[in-house]
Amino acid sequence: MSQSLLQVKDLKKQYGSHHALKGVSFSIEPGEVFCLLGVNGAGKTTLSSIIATLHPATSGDVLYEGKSIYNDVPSYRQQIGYCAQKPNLNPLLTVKENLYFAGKYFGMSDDQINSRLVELHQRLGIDEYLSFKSDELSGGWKQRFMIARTLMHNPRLVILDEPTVGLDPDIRRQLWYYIQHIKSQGVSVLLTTHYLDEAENLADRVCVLSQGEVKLIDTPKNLMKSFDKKNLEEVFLQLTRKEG
Amino acid sequence: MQISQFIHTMYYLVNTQYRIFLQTIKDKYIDLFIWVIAMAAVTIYLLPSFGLATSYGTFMIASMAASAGLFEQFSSTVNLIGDFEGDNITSFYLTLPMPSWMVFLSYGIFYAFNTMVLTAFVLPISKLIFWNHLNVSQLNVLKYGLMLFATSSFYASFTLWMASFVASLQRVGSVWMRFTFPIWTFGAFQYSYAVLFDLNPWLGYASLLNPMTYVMEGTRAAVLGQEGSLNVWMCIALTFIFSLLFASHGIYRIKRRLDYV
Repeated sequence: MSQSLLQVKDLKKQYGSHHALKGVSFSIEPGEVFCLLGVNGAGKTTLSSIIATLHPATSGDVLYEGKSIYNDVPSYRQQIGYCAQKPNLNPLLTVKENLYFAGKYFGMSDDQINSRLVELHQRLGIDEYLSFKSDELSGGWKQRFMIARTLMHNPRLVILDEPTVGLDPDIRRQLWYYIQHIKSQGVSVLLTTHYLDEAENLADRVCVLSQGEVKLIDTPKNLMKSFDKKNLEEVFLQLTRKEG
Repeated sequence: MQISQFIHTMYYLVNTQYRIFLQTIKDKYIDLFIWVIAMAAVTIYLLPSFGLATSYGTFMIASMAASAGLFEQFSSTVNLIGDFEGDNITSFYLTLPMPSWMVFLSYGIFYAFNTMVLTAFVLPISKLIFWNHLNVSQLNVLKYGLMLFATSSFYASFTLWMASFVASLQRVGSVWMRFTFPIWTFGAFQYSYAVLFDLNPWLGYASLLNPMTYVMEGTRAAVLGQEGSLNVWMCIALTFIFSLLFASHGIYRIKRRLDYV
């Protein structure tokens, strides 16, 4: 049996008396798009930021290829790319410089960076705006460059925290195609979203989070079948209504 | 992972900051020299009319050379707190392949570097402008260089420390006026430690708890000569010790503030 790429084990996160995560467990397989679904405040961003090693868990563990990520955080970080919900490109540098330095931080040579920029341009069409500063870009372009920066060093696990929030439908579609392309390269994707059509189109499996707990994990197809619904949105509404 | 890889990542983090610094270096020099030249001109040309010794101009230029970095780092503190609250570029850096505390160490290295680059020119430019009014015959370049390095390190660590506990951008001005400004003013900026000690030994002893005292006294000892100042080697050593204390406590508090791994 092949080993999961990432295993999240009984993860808890507490802020004072507030329990943001109450013992979350799941695994992500190599080349899988795993989607975290939930309403605002469900714990999606907290969970993805812990997996990205931005914040520590209160308890529990995250295993990468069977080993705790906390044994060697820098090596784990070399394997992942994290795209935060809010664009945080450096506004005082051009986006090309942002991408160049992102490559350098991860130990890439100039040649590797240049060939990677060509690849990313072919997929994301970013060439036209490389000399712009991030403040001069629209939300869609900022997000595209955020994803480009995340992918710069060829990570094996990409964590995308609500990457399509506030974007036009056509830009959302373009980013979907790119996520599908990443998956076809064997890269695993942890995608947090509250767009159910996004999860339905992209996810191999979805994990519904509610109030810091996993409600269920399954493929979109199985969920729709077992709930006897035509789309994921109806499944989600039924689940959240049950809680209400 | 190897320590050399961490250093490589840190090097490029510092390099990123340096690239940004170059965009504003001209303005920073203009701002700095307006302050230095205005203060020095008043001290050299006007204050003697009120009975102050003409040598006080040299004394004040040495003090300003020691203080300039503090003002530069005020803007760094504002930028860092602004980033914690808004842009959040730091949160990207905290996912880079190195221990998280090294991100703040790289910030500290850059702050020390930019302080040195800016303040290293205060004395030579002042000499060119005020030529005969600035007596640097006692200047010891080695001691001054070491003191400049120690001072820059101190201001860098002080920036991290300030950013670690100022709750929000709105509070920066208040903290500056209520905390930083008094320790600077009472850190022997306009007077020497010996004068304070003669006035009241207890105030003198209390002043030894203020790191700014060593920054000012050490710089003046290196520029004006040892006589009448605290021992320059002691000042260099204590400035470095304060730098270490402020940097480690600042990074510890930032860890708590940002809740990073």
